[in-house]
Amino acid sequence: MKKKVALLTTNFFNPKGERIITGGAERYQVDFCRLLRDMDFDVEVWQMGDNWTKEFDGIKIHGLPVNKTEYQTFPELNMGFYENVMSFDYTLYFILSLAYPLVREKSISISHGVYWDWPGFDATTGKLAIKQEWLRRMELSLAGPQKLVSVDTNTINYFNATLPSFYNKWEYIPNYVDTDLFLPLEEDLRNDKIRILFPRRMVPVRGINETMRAAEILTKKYPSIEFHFCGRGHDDTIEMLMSQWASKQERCYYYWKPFEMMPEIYQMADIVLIPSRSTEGTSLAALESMACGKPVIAGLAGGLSDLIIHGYNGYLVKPSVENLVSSIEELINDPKKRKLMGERGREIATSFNKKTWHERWANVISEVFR
Amino acid sequence: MDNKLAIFIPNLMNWNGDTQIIGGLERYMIALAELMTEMGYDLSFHQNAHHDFSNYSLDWPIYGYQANTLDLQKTIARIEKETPGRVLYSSIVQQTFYRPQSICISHGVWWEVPGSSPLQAQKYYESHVARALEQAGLIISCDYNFLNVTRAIYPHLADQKVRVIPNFADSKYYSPRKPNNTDHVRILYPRRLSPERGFGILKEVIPPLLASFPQVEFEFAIDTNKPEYLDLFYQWRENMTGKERILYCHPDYQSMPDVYARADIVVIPSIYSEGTSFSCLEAMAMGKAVIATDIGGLTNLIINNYNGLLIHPSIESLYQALLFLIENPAVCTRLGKYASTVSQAFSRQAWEARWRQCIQKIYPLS
Repeated sequence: MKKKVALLTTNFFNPKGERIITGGAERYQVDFCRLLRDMDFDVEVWQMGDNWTKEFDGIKIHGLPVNKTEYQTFPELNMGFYENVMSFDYTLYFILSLAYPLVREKSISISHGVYWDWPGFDATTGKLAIKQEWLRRMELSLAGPQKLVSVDTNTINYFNATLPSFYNKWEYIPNYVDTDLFLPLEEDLRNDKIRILFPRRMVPVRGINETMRAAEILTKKYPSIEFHFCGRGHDDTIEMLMSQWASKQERCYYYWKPFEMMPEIYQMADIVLIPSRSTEGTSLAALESMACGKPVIAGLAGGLSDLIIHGYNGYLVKPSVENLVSSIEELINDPKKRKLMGERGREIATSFNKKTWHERWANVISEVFR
Repeated sequence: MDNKLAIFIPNLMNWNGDTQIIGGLERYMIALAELMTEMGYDLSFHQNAHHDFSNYSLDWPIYGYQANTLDLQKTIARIEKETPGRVLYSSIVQQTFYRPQSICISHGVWWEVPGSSPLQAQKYYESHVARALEQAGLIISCDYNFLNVTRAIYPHLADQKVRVIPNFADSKYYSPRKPNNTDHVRILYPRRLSPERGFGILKEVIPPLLASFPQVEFEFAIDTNKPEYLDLFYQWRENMTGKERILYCHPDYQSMPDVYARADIVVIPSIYSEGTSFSCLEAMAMGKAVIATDIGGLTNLIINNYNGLLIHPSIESLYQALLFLIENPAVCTRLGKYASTVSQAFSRQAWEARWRQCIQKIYPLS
């Protein structure tokens, strides 16, 4: 008989059961469920929702009628899941804090990167005592699962420096890129325009504000450059404001594209910006840009320093307007460097190919789920 | 303004004040002192000692202050009191007090001792990191990891105070040489024997590898700073089967390139307290296949299976990684090739240029 795996997440669909905007974590979840199926497990997913069951990519997703969060943890959801998956053999917690307070014996937790490294997190945790309670709960969420998997080394090093007792549970399995899908263009068909691409959500932690200012400065100075902002905002208003702003600027464009179109979007770019200020793992957008042979200018946050070596395949900068302008200018003025850094990015990306990701996960899964 | 500047350092010389200490922090500070002297500063070093001393054997005066290992803060307080003017703190670990217009250096997160408690960890980041963030003018971090860990603990403060300047590999001394063309596979450990450097892991994988591969030999390039570590090492080696294939040397800075040149694989198996290790960077610059752990700043230098192997610091992972490289010499060559090109992004010139900016900002010369 097939062994059964239950996966707990917060919001794959939104709680009403409607599709939400697809981000990196959602793509990860779909690929991950496919991997488990390929390994001959039965997989089902639980999340917050009004008692519905839906299917996505052949996987059943159940909504549990709980919505309380305390100290950035989800005890009700965790307990509801625990009770609902009694007949399953193994469990997977898709966010570290979901493993608080109770987990099944054979379980694995995943971290997609540190998300508490921006001042706004303090605003949600508030007083020092509340942050300490959050950290205490995180300690309990790390204690339960047999294995803790992180997409970057930053998460592991942060927890070793704050909750050092789980040193030997951690496993670094970086994110991945399909290097057959994301490829450099064989022939350079582009004209002499230099295209600068910002392929992220239009949110402050991703450095959108600084990038817009840098775009205003640079498009005035260099008639040959274009700025492309490609990605969703959190709501209609943000997307409308972005469109309005772009329409007033010379050679600035705002749009979003489905995943299937993304290789082409990266391919037409000359420089890619991932100027995150915080809340970052081994960004799929960074990996995909690299796989398409593009130099990447990245922020100093989270797992980006696992992917980018400053001055080798791009730049790691504190994403201020000034730093963005000067590093983009370096690449505008040096086509040879752009090409060289892009080639190196492609070489590095092949070490993050999807096949390696499968193998490394398969090892961890067979170690714990047996 | 006065061009005098005092550098506080745990020990540039040993505590008797007669022998230079060999280590990463010490080399770092000599390189920085050379740069600052060239920029026109009049430097002096101030360190711990068994008895007060003055030493003039290097290019800068070194003053020792009597210290007790159990109460180093008392000595620091005395150095603070007796040293007026501008100060640069060579190590965030040494201090819990920082003058407002000062630079303090982080050589990597150092307190993440496996199995220690959250409370112990908290004591370290609150008494050193939080205070440096509040008091010092600038914290120079040798890796991105320290900045990222600090930001995750103190989201409001980290980006204001911390600047990253990764360590360097000096291509004048460290560059790839012709292949060795021997049948031997030499595995080099160019680190201290102290617990955080992972000698404890390495010594467990040596017996099975020596037994399975007659062509394999290990070399330990170790310092003589701590006689008690050396004694343990000699004892351990003496009892090993195949000890003639466990070589060791005590090189000075100048002979290190030759030591690397004789190796095929270099292991940096640190289990905690690691920055952008000079040993790792230099092994990379020499074009060697490096096995490093996913600890601290090593993650900023090695991308797994691109320019080295990045492993979890465990006996099993180290054994598997060594086995893989011993059996795949072509992989060693590939990793070594990329390691040496990557190391060019960590040039001494770039390091100096970034430091110059920070020094001019915090310690302006009129």
